[in-house]
Amino acid sequence: KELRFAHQFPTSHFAVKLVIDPFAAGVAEKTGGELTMKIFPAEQLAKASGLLDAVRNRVADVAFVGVTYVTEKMPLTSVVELPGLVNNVARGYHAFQTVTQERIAELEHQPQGVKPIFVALTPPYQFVLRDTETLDSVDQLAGKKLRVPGATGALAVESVGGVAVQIPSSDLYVGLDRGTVDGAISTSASVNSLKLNEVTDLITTNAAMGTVAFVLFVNSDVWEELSESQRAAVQEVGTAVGAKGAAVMDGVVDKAYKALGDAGMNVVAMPDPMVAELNGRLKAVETKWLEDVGARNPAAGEILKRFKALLAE
Amino acid sequence: MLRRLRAGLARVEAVMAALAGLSLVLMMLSISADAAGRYLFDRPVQGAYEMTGLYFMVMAVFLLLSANHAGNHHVRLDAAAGWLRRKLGRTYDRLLALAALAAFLPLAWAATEEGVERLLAQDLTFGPIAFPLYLSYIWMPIGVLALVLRLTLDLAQPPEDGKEAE
Amino acid sequence: MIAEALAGIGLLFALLLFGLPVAFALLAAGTVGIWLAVGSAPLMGVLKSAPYEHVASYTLSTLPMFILMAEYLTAGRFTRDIFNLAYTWMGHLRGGVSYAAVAGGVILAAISGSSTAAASTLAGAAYPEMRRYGYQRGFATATLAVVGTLAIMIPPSLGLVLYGLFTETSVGRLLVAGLLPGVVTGLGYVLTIHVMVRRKPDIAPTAPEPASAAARLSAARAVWPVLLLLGAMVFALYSGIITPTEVGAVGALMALLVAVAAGRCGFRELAAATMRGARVSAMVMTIVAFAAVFGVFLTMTGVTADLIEAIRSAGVNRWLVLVMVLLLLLVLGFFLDQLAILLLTLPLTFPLLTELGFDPIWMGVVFVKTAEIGLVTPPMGMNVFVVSGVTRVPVAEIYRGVWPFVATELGVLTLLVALPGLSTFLPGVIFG
Ligand code: NA
Ligand code: NA
Repeated sequence: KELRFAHQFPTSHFAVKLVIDPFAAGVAEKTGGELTMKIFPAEQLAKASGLLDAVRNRVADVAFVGVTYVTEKMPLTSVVELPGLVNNVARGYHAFQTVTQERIAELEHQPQGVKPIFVALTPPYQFVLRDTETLDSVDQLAGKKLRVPGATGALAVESVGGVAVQIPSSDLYVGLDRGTVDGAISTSASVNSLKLNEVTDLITTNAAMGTVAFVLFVNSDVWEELSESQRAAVQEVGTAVGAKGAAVMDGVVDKAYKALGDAGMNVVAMPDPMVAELNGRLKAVETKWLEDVGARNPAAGEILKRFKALLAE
Repeated sequence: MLRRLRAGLARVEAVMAALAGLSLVLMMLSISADAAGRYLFDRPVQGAYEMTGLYFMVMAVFLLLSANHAGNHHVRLDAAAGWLRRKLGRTYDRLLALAALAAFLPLAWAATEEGVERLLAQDLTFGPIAFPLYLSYIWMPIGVLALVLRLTLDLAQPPEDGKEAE
Repeated sequence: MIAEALAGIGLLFALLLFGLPVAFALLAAGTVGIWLAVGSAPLMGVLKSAPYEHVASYTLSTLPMFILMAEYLTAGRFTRDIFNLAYTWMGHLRGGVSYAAVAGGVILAAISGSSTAAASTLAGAAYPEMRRYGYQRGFATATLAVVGTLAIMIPPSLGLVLYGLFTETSVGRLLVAGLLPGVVTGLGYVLTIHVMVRRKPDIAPTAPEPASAAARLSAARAVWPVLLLLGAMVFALYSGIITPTEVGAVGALMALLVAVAAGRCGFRELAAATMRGARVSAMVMTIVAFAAVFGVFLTMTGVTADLIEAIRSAGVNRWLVLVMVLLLLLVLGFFLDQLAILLLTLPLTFPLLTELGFDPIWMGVVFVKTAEIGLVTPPMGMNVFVVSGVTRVPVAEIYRGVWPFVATELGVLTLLVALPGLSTFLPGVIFG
């Protein structure tokens, strides 16, 4: 049986080598070739924002879905994106994978007709700034126009005193080059892949401005049609690939920082008091999340509490 | 009866077209205000990005679907079409309407199902402003249903000169 | 899946020939094709979201905004002033007004990143003027459809930016790389027009005699508002005040304000211009929306992936591989639009060609140029559709006028392939 597997990444993206290809290959191997996947990369089958719909409606059988695009359909799942919480990929993965399988799958994914297999997190968003040598006080961020990748990012940037600017990613390079924005919140990986080091000067290593998280979903009907042993194989390979991806991610991040440093960027760790103050201010986003999402789903408080407890483990 | 239906649909299409024009003007104003606010006052207009993508663009496309068909504004290759019309006359117009209906009936079904589902879910985006998402998903079914009605009328009785007056 | 692919493509051609609107034919052929390939449940899923998500896009807003800007420039009679200037200064030369259209296309290309947007702007603004001076319909519209494609080579360029995002190549280098090829393309157009008006003088009538010095001076004086407007837009874009996506909206608003301030149009004219802009925008974006359904169909059949795999495993000379890939892009241009082609092929062709040692920056220019040629070739030529939609000149008539330009484009493409320095020299100088 061949499953259609859709994702948003270009084939050169590290997520493809880290989790997507290993998952497809692992499942094929484990099932002795019974279950193979035909991979549709780079939004070919559906836009990033439409991948959840694609797997719900069986346009794809399997999809790697970015949480940020589906917060309206999966508000509880978006707990993972909250700024100020996840500052390390390995711990973030453990907490998100666990709370997803424990509670969120049944509360939010099952009703949408999809089954989560494993999750993946990119390193947390950092500050990427032009015309800046060092960053050691929150005041330096005041009034800085920072490009944000979405509405949660806008809340995060505003709560630390910056000006949140939304421009499409296709305008980001030029916008930083010409000073339309003073910087961006972005992951080290996308600074690397978009070559933003050519037009910015500084990147931080220890901010927690929110995380980009993905969930690998299988359509529920497809899942039902799989044999017992095939399901076991998918679950087993998925869990292993997810855990391995998270374990090596911090190494990938270190490499990315090293490359950016070699390319002439200032790779800086903000002093601890500044990080503490940032995280204190980011509580405002958490409060708003509890209010907004809590109004729609009473489980919001419980999920947030559990997620934080798992992060602290 | 057909004549009155046609006139009624034309009035609805005119209102929808005006809304589409209005959405272009609002798009122009909100993008400009966002840029000006960002540059002059360090205060971009939060929500301009979402309003454009979620509402104005979708309205601008689908609200004119039917009116553009009635006015024969959709682009077509008309090399063979002229010859076919001379050969087949009214039958050709009926065949065209039938082919278009065959294409749009599945879409009308799918779009309406999606629109109703979104309407019932009442989903909101999370962020500085909570946008109601169903307001983004209702324009495609509205536009497609108007077109389906227009095509049905054309099938029953093709307009006199092969197209409606503008 | 080859059978399903051929069936869908065949049905598309048949419906287009039968006279169904292009957007409707794409929807119908895509619907039938997906149903044949994977059945009705996935089909309903694609119909629910593909047309919607391809137009519910902030980035695409640049298209209707440029169309609106053209309508306001025309309503304010600004374009008439520009072409009047061209006519009084160059009208006694054969083809003078066409050269002015090329020059206008270059200026517009420096502002617009989308060639479809540029073509629609040119058609809305320049076509009525070219007709006023007696230019033949097919020649005038073909010129405008082709000159619009300059926008994708001269920075800013949406095509090159997307190529950069897909392949993780420096957007800055790519944008600079497009500059010289853009200039070469523009010169190619001038040469083509020169040859065309020599061979068939009556397609471009000349003024009976050169205009008087006084007439030339007064024509030059009349254009300052629109020059100021275009200058302000270029300045705002390159100084970073606004982004490439915003420039259309800001330009439309400025054109509207200047027209009103100069007392050149009232509410009634503005409302009419807005509704014309809305009509054309909807027409273009309807094609974008339903082409998405057909694109998903082609993707699902996997026919392009199979072809590229066949090229890879043929084990031939690397230049032959490049030529085969470019031919595939040209053929895809017969029924897909440029961005769809890049999206469909890049994930497979880019690794293939970089492995063979081709330069990624140069490849970006060559790929975008090739996909661009598809915008003016039958049967699916987005720029031709747009110009037809704006001017209401039949598509077939524009296609007839387009062939000499397509020949030029293929010549320019060959030049770009043969001389990689044209693309890589400037980025090398600027970025080291
Ligand atoms: Na351009
Ligand atoms: Na073409």
